[in-house]
Amino acid sequence: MLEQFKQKYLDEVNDLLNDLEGAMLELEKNPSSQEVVNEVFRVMHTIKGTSGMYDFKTVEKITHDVESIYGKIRDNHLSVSKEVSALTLECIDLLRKLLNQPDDNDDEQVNDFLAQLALLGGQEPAQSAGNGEEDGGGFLADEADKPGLKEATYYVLFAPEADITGRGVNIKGILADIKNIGTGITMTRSWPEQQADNGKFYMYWEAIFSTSKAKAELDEIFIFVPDEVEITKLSDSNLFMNEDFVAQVTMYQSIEEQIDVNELKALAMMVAPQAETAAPAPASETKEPGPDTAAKGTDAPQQHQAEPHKTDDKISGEEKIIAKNIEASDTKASSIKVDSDKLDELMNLVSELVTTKAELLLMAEKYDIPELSTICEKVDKLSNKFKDNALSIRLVPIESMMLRFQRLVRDLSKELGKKIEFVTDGTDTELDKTIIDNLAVPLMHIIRNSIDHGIEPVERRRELKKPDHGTIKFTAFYSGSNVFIQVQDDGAGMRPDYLRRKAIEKGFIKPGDNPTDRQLYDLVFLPGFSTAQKITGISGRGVGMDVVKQNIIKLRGEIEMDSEIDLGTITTIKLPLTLSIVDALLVSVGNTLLLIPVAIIDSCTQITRNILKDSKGRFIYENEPTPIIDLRKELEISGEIPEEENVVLVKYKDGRVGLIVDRIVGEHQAVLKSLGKYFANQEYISGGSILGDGSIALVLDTNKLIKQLEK
Amino acid sequence: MANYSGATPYLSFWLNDELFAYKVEDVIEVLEMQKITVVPKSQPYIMGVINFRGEILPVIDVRQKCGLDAGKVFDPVDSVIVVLEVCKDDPDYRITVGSIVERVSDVVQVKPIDIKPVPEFDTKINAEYTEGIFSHGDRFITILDTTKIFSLGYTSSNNTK
Repeated sequence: MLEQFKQKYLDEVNDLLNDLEGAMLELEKNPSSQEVVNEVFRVMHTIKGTSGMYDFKTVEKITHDVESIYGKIRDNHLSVSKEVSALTLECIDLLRKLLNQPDDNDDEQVNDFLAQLALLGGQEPAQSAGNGEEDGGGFLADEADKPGLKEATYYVLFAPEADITGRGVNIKGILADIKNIGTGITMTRSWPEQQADNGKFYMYWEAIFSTSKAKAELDEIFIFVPDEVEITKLSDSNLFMNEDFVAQVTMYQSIEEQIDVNELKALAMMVAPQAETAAPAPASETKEPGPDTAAKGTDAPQQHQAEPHKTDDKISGEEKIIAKNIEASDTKASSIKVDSDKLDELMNLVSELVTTKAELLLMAEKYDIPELSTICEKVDKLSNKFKDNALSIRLVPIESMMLRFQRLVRDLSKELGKKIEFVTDGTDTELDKTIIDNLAVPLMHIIRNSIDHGIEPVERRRELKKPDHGTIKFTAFYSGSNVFIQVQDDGAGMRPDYLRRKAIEKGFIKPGDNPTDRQLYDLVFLPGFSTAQKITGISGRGVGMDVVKQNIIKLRGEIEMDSEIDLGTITTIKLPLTLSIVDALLVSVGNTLLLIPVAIIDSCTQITRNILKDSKGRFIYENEPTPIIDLRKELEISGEIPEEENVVLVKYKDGRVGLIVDRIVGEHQAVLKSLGKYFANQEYISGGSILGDGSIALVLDTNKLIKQLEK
Repeated sequence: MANYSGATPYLSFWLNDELFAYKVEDVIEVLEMQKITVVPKSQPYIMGVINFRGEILPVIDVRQKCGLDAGKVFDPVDSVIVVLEVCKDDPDYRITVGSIVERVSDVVQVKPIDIKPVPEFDTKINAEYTEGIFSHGDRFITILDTTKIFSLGYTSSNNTK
């Protein structure tokens, strides 16, 4: 089986399982919903169908049995009980395990599960997948394998492009497949020197073999390299039965030269056992470059086309209807799945375009040709739109990870005997895919903490006259160029006195220290600081929150906790919208070019050094005393100090802070680049960006800067 | 080191009027001197960053890293930047880095058998950062250990002692 298909299948089934999980949680709330029952039925059926195709027999069996149960529910022979939903959820977990760790197969668990299912299904023992219309295995039979099918002889020329190794194509696999499909010979050749520069991979392969398999199956081997292969049918018989042919082939094998197809065809015609094969075969079958001649183009559309083609061959009847259903639901969402590598590539291209555009604008400015300027303006606008568009593709709503949190809350609260409601708000807020992917684990930790330590047991809640149901509220919202995510519980809250004692005990602070509550909460993020009174399987090993903080910092985000005894705890995460391109103001201090993200800038003004002298770190701006930071001093930049300085006012918390710079150069779309490992612990600078003239500007991390100076 | 007959090429260069060498295998390119952007508040041995084929590349003054005298200022025109890729095979430690030197001298083929350990009493350089020394004509050339000098895993463990 082709690995690529398998991956696609796994992705698809994992998605389906996620849908199913959502549906189940819905069904628990609303057990009579026919719609949800149908949904479960449909998902089970789809998984069953595709699993059969990809030879996941156990998965096929399980889904078949669960499907039967839901068939009964649908037909009102059975009702949705607690057992049914529990078993279905168990089924989801089991399927995930089976699919994602196929080597770790636990037959006992599967049998156990099937037995439970059978019990639930009632009198009828679990039917094996083999009865009539629900037969999941029927389409597995491969007609090509049927005996009596005639053999045919093929010549295959496989000449990959030079970039084959970079595309992740498994050449070895293809060669092995050729060997396995029939009997014959494969010749590994390399291009002669005068042809070495033909854009091809330095090696190519020729194979002559006879097989009883259908042509479609042969095409399938080359499904990812359709343009790099030529398949020629030599005869509708096994030519290896003919001595002359074998002799000729042996000759080909001994010389290091590409076989002349026409010569080979002529020979085939001569030696073919019957005249009938000679006439029709070459006309229709020769020189067919791939499975689909019409769709010559890039690999991508070919792949997409190839798959339905394949499924159509094998799927019959009911399965076709399901395939249609999948298609229908796809169009409903009107979205397509794209390999995230392709998105990364797109972002790289956009980044390069933005950088090149900056070069172009610089040139245009230098030569000042009116026509050129007009074009430049257009390019500028287009590239901005293009950039926004590309960035938006990468944005994914936070909703996409809500499901697992809901599940987590459900499972954990049951386990701990607590009653917890999980409320969400603003889950349509979008964030960069990379950020979302790296956010799930830290958020999981935070929510676990809330369930385990935050929400009190029911008895305690009654004592405090709180409602039996604890609430965990998940909120997401935009603010400036940031996204804020908050997890709030109405639980016990953190006790500063307890944190303090613990911190002294563990040597994080000295007994004489007098930290504020805020500072005490921050201690929670230190490695090895766990306050759990008893260590549970869920949390309390003291590795949670510091890992959470590390993860958030890696995403250029910040995390903060606030708490009130017996009222609850709120954890706030602040994240940048995207990790790649930001609009920034380019300023200079001495010879150093700095970038300040536009989104956090409030305004700009000017100031003279005279006023600064006795400013004591503050100046009056718009009738308000405003803190002011001399970047030259803080960043230890030398150089002549101008008399007149510029002040960039940036938003900070509820107020503003002024940053003193020498000169404001202008706006710049900064493609953010990491400064690399040497600067991992760099204070105040979060990255760099290459300007139009090739020089480097440094991105100022104002939040860190101001925070540091506050202390 | 099984093959004693095979010679390895080394790129030799000048620092403080002495000859040093990097394994040619580690060298990606030798760049002419260009504008180095100073990164505020970074380690003293980091000269700054340059734009190397659209990526940001740190430039290191190995003299300061290896305990050599760093008093002499690099010539803004004649100095060159040797771009190295260190720890190619280990993705955790692999790093591309520029090393500023006075000028490059030559590519020299050296047999392993001709490379001697750097004598302990040679106080000019911290012997820990060297791979050995060999004689070339009437001079000695010290081979620098790129992994120990540039790989950050090593740097941090070295700094903590």
